Amino acid sequence: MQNKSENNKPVPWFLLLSIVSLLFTVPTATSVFAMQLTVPMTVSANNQPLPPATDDSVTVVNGATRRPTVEDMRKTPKAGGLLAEIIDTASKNNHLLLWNMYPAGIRGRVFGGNGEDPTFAMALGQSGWN
Amino acid sequence: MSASTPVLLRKLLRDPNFIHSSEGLLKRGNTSNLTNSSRQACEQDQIREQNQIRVREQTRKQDPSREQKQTSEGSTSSRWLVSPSIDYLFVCGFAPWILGFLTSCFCGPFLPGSPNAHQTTLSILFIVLSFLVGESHQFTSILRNVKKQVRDLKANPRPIKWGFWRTYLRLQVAAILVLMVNPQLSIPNLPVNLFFAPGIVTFWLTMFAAPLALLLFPVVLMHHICAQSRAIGLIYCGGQDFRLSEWENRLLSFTLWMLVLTAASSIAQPFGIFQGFSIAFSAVVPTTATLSVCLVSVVATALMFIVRGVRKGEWLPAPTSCLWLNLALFVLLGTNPAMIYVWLFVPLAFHATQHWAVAWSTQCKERINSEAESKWLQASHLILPVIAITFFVVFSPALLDNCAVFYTGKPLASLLPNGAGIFPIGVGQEHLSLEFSLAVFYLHYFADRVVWKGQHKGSSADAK
Repeated sequence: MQNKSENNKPVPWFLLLSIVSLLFTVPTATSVFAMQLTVPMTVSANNQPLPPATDDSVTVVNGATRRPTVEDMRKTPKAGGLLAEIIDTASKNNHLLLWNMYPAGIRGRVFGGNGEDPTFAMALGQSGWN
Repeated sequence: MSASTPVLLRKLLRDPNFIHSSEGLLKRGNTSNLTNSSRQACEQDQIREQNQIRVREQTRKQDPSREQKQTSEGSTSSRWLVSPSIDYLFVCGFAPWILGFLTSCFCGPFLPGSPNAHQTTLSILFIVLSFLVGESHQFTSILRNVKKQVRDLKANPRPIKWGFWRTYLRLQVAAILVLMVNPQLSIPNLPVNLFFAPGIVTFWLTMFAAPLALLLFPVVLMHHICAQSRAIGLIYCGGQDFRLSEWENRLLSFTLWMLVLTAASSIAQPFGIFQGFSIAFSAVVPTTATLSVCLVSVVATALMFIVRGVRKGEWLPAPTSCLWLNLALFVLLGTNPAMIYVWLFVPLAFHATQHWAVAWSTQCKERINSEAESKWLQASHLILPVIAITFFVVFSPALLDNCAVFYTGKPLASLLPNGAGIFPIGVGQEHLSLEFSLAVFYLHYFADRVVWKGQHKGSSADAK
């Protein structure tokens, strides 16, 4: 009798809560990641550089049928480039090494969209990183 | 247990922590808050526990060797938070060295604008892990604190008091929050000035406290990392019956504060909202002098423990030695350019994993009665709510923004005015991210100092 009642335990509340929360947030998270971490590859999968762009060359980038401009490249972080940006910033701003590597700082970069941490750049005022 | 006992109460009674507290209530004779049915349930639980103890004693008498074996296994497992290999790698601080070395070897130099496939993979992995392990670790203590408060409130319900001064204080706090969100409603424009005039001190204190919390963010973060390492080192010491004397404790505290100051003057300088703040801070805490004193204190601490080991044969436990040594190296070598690869993994594979290990260890000790539960269920009980809340808090600004765009066609920031000037409080997605970061970190920082105190004798994750 006791075994039977143990087998019929209700679904834990935390499991239900977690699933509901994840159902709400995962689509947003996916869209943020998809938007921010889209990779305009400057090299192909086998590490060979892409052929130089010509005026009539067409590449699909972020759904647009054109080669990314310099402005696009600056604005859109590259998944590989994002880590490079983090390391680059940390080497230039060694006095903020801890913050540069901290998950919240990295999150700022992912949300920022151009490899910088907009939240703390804003917190630092107009001067940007000190 | 009677059928009329509420389900919630039954669940709480099954919880060992509640049983512990209800025993205390019964022993003190303070049973006025308990109903008849709950008192009966408590008594039944007591009887059940006594029966369990009797059965255990009988087993010990019948087969003492088995009991000894179980005790030795228990003492070995209590020395580690998770397991020896995981502890050495992810708690004592060897993982960042190994991962940093591997990253620099396999992925080559990170040149902006030319990521290769390895770097891309590593970046995605790193960012996802920083969400799942790094960002989420803060919520383990916050969630535990909230659960504890709710449990205490259920065990001992207290009505909310609505006296004049309490109500006045709450209204003031509400007004300050409104002003933070919308600074255009500045104090001179408010018609309720006269009512809130005495609260102007509170207002300005809040106005200065928040930017100060932001300025000192890296320093507090460094203190948090050092304090956690010290606490976990002491847990290992406790597990091996290594007691620190008063002087050893004092020197250790001094060394850790010197590490914090060294980091604050080198790799974790305060943010510079005001241009002169960092310069002033550097003048007050000069790098070279701090580094020299820190080096001396680290060497003195190491010598102190070596001398004790040689004289009395009482050596500092190996995990503690490794943990504190690695912490000192991370800070002292932090300015070396090659350390960037190692530091890439310090917050993730040193600090956050330490926290998860303590959370896991504490849960295993507290849920000792639920041996029937599989490890997977126990792990999901710990991890799932934390991950869910992390996702919710981290992505809620984007979620709100998306909702605003969906319903009104405009982003959130354009609907309500954002803060300006030195106090960047607002409702836009970026503002909210910053505010949530600060709030979550400071909540975690303070919750961490109290919440891991063991609720049973022997669970001593209470040194923070």
